[in-house]
Amino acid sequence: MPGDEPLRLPLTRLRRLELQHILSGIDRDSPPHEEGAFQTVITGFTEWVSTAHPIVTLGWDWQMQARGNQPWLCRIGTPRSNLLLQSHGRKKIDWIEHERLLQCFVDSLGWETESLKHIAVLYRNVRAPHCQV
Amino acid sequence: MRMISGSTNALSQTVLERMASYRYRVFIETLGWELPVREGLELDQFDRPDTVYVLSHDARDEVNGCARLLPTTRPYLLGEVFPQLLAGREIPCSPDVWELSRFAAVDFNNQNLNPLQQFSSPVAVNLLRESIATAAAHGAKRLITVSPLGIERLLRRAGFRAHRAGPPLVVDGHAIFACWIDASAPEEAALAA
Repeated sequence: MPGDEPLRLPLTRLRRLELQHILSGIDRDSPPHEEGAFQTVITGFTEWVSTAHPIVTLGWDWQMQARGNQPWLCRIGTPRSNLLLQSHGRKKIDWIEHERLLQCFVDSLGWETESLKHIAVLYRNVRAPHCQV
Repeated sequence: MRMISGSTNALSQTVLERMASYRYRVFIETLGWELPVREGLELDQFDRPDTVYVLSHDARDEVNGCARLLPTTRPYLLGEVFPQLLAGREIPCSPDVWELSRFAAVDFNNQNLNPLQQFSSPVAVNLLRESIATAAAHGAKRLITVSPLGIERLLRRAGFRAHRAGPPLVVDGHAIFACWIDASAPEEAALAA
């Protein structure tokens, strides 16, 4: 079945690829507000893709947190991708190690500012329901 | 929760109309997708006599979830409408590969549930498991799906091994992508990990 396998790539090669941001958003599937209270946790997702072959797609979830008096994004969960990482000798890496390496890779990207910028533009005209006048 | 599955030919006209009406409420009225409609029913060219459906019903016996299964040996959504989601890779065509599309698990009778929360619900997990089992019973070893990004979280929660076939694209304002799903049982997938 050609084409149905994940892209097998050593981590060293993945590190050499340039990734660009394609889209980010805030989760709209949050639990509804309870009477007298509203949700204070903001979560969302961000999507990145390689700028050249091989085409690598990576997406992960984030949670908005405060850094000083500024919002900041922290990755939560394991990234989703079309990848299956290989060791240097092109040996199979077990699934848990694969996920750990992907998490470390994403955390080293410096993605937060670009995703925050995109979210700020996307939602600049949106007000939370409790703020409507 | 009651599940039924079968091809167009095997299901009654009443069941098929309830399914198409439910899809209209979910995809047209709730999610705002631009799809062909006819008199309150959401049906397209892939709803054929050989199409297989999986339907979930609530305690009132009203539809609260649906999924559509198509063999990739005949025309299907990804191959005909969204081949760009495969990023240039070969369009699957094999009796071992079935397509999962029009997956929805909005429970309109559950007032406490946000319709946009559909991929988080127990109905969604059970419907996904039943859909994959139904496809496997028809010979599928893998499924390919065109879906909103949220289905990846559901697949992970339900214990299925899946990976992307290509990057997501924004179509009519909605981010969608193609995803491969291993049709072996979650327990087997975990053991193979």
